[in-house]
Amino acid sequence: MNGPLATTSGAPGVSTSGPAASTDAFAAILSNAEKVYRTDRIETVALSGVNLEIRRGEFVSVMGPSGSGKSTLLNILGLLDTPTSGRLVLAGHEIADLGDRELSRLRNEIVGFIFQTFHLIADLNVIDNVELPLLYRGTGGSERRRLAGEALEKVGLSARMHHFPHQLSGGQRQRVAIARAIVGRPPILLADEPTGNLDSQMGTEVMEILEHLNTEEGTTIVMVTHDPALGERTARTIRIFDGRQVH
Amino acid sequence: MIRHLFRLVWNRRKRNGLVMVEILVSFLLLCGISTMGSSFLLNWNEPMGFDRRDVWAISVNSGPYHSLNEDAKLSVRRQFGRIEEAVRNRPDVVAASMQTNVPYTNSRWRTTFEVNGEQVQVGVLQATREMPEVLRLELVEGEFFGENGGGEEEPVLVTQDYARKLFPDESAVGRLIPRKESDDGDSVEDDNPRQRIVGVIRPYRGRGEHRASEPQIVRQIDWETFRGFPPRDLLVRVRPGAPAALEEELLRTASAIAPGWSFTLTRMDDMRTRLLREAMLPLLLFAVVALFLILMVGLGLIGVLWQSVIRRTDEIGVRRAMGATADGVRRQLLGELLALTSISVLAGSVLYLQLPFLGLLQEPGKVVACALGSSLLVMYGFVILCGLYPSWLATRIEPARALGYE
Amino acid sequence: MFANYLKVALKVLARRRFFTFISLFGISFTLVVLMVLTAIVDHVLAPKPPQVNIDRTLRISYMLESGENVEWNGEPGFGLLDRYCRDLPGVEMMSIVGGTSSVVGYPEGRRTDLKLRHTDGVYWDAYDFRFLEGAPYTREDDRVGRPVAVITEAASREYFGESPAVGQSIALSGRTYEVLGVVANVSPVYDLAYSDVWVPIGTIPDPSFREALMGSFEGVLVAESRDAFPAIRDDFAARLERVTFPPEDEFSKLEGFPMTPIETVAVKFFSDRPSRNALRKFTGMVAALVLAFMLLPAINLVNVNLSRIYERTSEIGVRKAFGASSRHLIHQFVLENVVLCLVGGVIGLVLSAAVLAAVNASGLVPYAHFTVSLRVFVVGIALATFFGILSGLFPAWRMSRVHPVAALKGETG
Repeated sequence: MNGPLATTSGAPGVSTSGPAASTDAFAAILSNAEKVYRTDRIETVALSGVNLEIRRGEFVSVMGPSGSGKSTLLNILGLLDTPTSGRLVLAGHEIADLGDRELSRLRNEIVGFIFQTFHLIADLNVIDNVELPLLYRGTGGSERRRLAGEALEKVGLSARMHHFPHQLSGGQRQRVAIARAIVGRPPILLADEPTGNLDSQMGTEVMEILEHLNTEEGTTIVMVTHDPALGERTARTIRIFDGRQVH
Repeated sequence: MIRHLFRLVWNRRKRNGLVMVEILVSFLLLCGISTMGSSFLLNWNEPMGFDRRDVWAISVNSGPYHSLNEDAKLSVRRQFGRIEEAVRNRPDVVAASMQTNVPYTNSRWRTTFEVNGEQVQVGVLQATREMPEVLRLELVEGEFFGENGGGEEEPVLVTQDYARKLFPDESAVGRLIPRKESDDGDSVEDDNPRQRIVGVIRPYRGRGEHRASEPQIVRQIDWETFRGFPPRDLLVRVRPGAPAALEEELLRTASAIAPGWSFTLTRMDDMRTRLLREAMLPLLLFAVVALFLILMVGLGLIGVLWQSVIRRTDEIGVRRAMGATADGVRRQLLGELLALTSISVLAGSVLYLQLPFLGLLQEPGKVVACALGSSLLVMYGFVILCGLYPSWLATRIEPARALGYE
Repeated sequence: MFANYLKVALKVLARRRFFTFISLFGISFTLVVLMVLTAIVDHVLAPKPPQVNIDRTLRISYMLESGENVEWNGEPGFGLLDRYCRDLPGVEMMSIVGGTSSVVGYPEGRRTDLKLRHTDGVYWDAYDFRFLEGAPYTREDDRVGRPVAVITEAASREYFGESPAVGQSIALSGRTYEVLGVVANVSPVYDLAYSDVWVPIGTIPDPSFREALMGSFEGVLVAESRDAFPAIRDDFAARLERVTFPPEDEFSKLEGFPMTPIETVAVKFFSDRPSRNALRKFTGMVAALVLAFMLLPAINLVNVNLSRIYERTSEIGVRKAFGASSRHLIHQFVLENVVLCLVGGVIGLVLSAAVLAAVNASGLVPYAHFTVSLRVFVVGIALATFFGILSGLFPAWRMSRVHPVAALKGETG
């Protein structure tokens, strides 16, 4: 697929709208975002009046007690969920009223996900798992292999390309998941408790990889975490409480 | 508890919808098979109304009759009479008579009568004098034909089921058969003699053991005055243990009288075997296919239930934690399944019962009731069988593990 | 992309064997039923000996004769075929064929039942029988009514044992014929080509049938090619207009048209007027029956597929998170189902061959030799694909609709 968005360079993306100059410096701008879950009778406010500006190349952590809405925030930033109201500009793209195909394309090109429970596809081996985002981008087979190989090298797992997820330790699985997240070189990485299921040594390893990606490659990272120690290692911490941003 | 189960099933109606449709379709399929099966079984043990043993049928192919002129037609009929007489006079032959509506054949003459506002299909069995003896018809009341059938009024026999329809409350013997009312006013029948019932015979089940009886009126043929399309089959009762050589001898006897015609002799036992086989084969094929379909549905049901037990591990854990016993969990899952089945089966029964009401299924109420009953029994039994393993799996869930289930 | 889907599909199949077994059981059983039927139809309609010309054959086999108050459906008479249907344009040859009748013989006092068919001499050119002994009777034999017969191998064995049959005489239902030839046994599925004994029409003693417009004969028209069919039908229609009816006859009109063998089946099935729509009605009915039969297996497979969404929610969520659109997912899951159905199709094909072999061996259809031909294979694969798409679309749509956030939490909503 075309478009310069696949690169991590600071080059401006093709803005769909808005004054390019003011949004260029930001990986994500969320203004006045609200998320309300409605069922037949009950309304639950998950997020309310959240304003957020994340600069390109920033490493931000999001903290807050469980149920505070931090996962919702991450899902909105990752285009997995849409805010009920508010404005979202992601890597220069105004996100509003986009259809499934457009959203899918943007997810594919702009963001990379890292989950607490890894979410590797059990039926695919390591390299096939890592290739996944490129598959939906339509990248050719040999190019996919090459890029996936490179990504695995970055997380130090080149030797395990043909293993299946169940043959790996927790830390190795998360490193595969990171390789998968970065293989398409998205400008933004979203990590939801990436170390939550790992012991401290493995957690540290994973954290070091993320920091390396941030400093060396300039990738913007937004990480949800429970762990204050991890929070302190990031440049900025956003605190969410009861769906509201606490400064 | 039952309301709780139905509420659960109802709240999951979206997820259960297709399973219910599947059970409904299977149930209708079961109804289909058991209708055929019931009809078969219930008919099988009924008396036939005739005795097929030691009866041979000679089919007479005399060439086209329809296109002949009246003189030629009469001479053909006289030939029939002569053949009958010659065969009758052979040793080892007890009786011989030509007739229509030969047992164990699919061809038959019928006519529709309106009896007390009801349309009744009546077989018209036309035969010569010795026919009651050939088929050993059983007389319920009255008498068989006399020596000749002519005269002002035509003496006829009717079967018991027809007699009851015509004269529900009194004896039919000696009564005249009501005239058929025709649409255009002047009926062809008006110049036919009135038909007087001289005897009532047992219901006649010429279509085979698997079919119900059909009302018959038995008219005696007089070859001289006969009109219409004559019977082509000569039925012969032979002495028990008559030699096989008699077959050839009878055919030679017939050929000697009408050298240009061809004759084929079949034993009624063989006709019966052939007809029943022909009737059974499609039924058997259908049953085999249906059996496989139901088996497939059963396997699918086990799979779906199994998966749903895994999906509901959490809920089952909560129930266990709140004091449900393992047995209680099993009972609950089976109960849900039965509730689900009941909804489908109820809808299915309503649909099935439309068939007799709409006249699409012409089986007596006994057959319908029997079919529906057996289908219900089989369906419930089958569903429980499918639910046993998955519900046993559910009892193996330990509450502590279940609640920590990721 | 495709290879990736395929890889996952096969993995999923191998993972939960019980579910795969359930699915394959249903699919292959469904396809066995349909493929066995296809094989039988293919066997009946394929241009193979003796019916080598079947694909360029038209049959005059069903007519409607009507008058003011009467109607008669049935086979045409000899008179109609003989006097009005000869030398139709584009017809290479026409044979007049009678129906079969049952005859009995008593070789050495043993009762033997046989089917006997009256035909003309052209019959032996229109069909290609394998003669094991002797030769067929000729047009001249038919014209003079020579009492001769062609019999099958089975009939020959019944009457003459291992000794040659040609030149011997055979007595059937009181008439005696000289055997001219012995052909290989013919299966009853070959319709007009089937019989045990064939004798010339000329041997029928009573000549009244020769004038009849309606009766029990059929005309077999072997056309030069299928392209000639419309012209043949037009000319036949024109000739029907010219038919004269006997003065005392109550009938005054004849309807009908030369039909392809499959049209004959359709028209006789409805035993209605000889209508050009019969084939369309018949195909529609068969298609409806096939679909109705597929309904239960399809619902079953859909149910199994739907309940398997649960174990795949994480995968769905991940794929969505990394940019799979709903369309991608639908493609993937439908493809998976088609792969499953194709595997079922292959199993079904093997089972069909076994069922057909069992049918052949059982003698249920005497002398039949049903096989899984290339055509049956193609139909089988097509059916499997169709079934895969039919039963895959709804679950795929449901899967694609699973919300990614819920999916990543392991909920299916």
